[in-house]
Amino acid sequence: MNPVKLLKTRFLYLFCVFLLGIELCLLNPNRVMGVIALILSPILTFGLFTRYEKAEAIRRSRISSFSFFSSFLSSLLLEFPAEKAYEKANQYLVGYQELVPYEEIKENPERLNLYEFQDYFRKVITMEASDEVHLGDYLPLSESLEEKIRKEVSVTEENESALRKALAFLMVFFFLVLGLTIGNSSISELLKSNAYSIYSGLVLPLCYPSVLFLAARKGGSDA
Amino acid sequence: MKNPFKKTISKEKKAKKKAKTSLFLYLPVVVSFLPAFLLYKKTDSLLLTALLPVSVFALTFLFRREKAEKKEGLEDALLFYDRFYYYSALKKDYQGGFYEALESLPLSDFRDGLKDHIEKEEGGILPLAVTKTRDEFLLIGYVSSLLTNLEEYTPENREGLKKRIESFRNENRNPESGKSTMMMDCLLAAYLLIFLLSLLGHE
Repeated sequence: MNPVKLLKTRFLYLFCVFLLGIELCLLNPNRVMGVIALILSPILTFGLFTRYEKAEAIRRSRISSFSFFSSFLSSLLLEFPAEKAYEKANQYLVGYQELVPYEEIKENPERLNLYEFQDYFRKVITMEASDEVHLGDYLPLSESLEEKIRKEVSVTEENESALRKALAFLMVFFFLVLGLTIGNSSISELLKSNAYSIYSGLVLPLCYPSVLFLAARKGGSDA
Repeated sequence: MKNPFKKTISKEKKAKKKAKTSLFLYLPVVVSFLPAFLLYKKTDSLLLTALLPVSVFALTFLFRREKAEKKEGLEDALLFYDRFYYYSALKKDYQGGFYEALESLPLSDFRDGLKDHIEKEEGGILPLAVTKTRDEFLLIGYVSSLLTNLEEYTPENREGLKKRIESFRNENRNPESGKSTMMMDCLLAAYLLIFLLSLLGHE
């Protein structure tokens, strides 16, 4: 994804992470560690968001492919001619894959990437060539595709919700620490220690990127 | 015609799998260096100390390999059942669906075993068993009856097949594999403890 576009779409997240970095920097008695905390968190978050968006792009492409095949099969179930069913289903591929005329698809079904359903698509196209396309039972494949689409969409929703919750938790946590530091002298003393300066310089800035990393891994593993 | 996307997907999956296997293989060995160091401090015997990580490596390797083989077989079997189910529906014919599914399977011991069985015309139960559980035997029995009785494709037997495949899949989705991994880790930890205690006691 284009970095400027990424900055725009994820501005709120990156801004909040930057704010947390500033807070960590100000609370850190060691200036060097403070600056490391300020730089480390937004840079890591940005890098991981790039990875996360890549995984999400693959997921969207999968959803579009499955929606295309599901629509194609549904039309065949309704006894539409294969060519019409194909053209009707093509709307789901716009923006994700190159639209190929039906005549070319008949010769080479591999022109479309339908992931794990590629073999079945090829089979349906071969059946059409031998005039058997309306003899098949497409219900099992259609059900399976619907299930896959539901799953892919729910993973995206879960990931987004995890990102929002993690950010909200971190914001509340850090502002709580800030409040306690101002109001409590013993905590202020603790924050002046060397151990805390290393901890807040190297470990705390990794909190949000780690959540992002886990979400990105989840996003990438299925795709 | 070959699927150009298939190759890249399987390559990526293989690389991921390899990285994961290596981590699980070497992590216990790295962890075992700590008790090995303590052991060296206590006994001053380099040979005994070296024995500990080496034996942990051998044990982990054996456990993981057995588990990996079983998992691979299970994945192949599930892929076969899914393809059998979908191709049978597309052709509305179980025999045709069976051969189509078999031909479309990637090269594996599971596929070779099944092909050998058919080519030799041995008859009897198909060599599909991987986990040897109740649900798996019910499914194999159902598939065999669909094929040997030359049953016609109907929505009723399609639903029957789907139900059995789902229950086989759900049975293997249970944290059974997680349990066995945990048991292996506990065994490894117990082995380390017994090794240390017996040596220290001996001294």
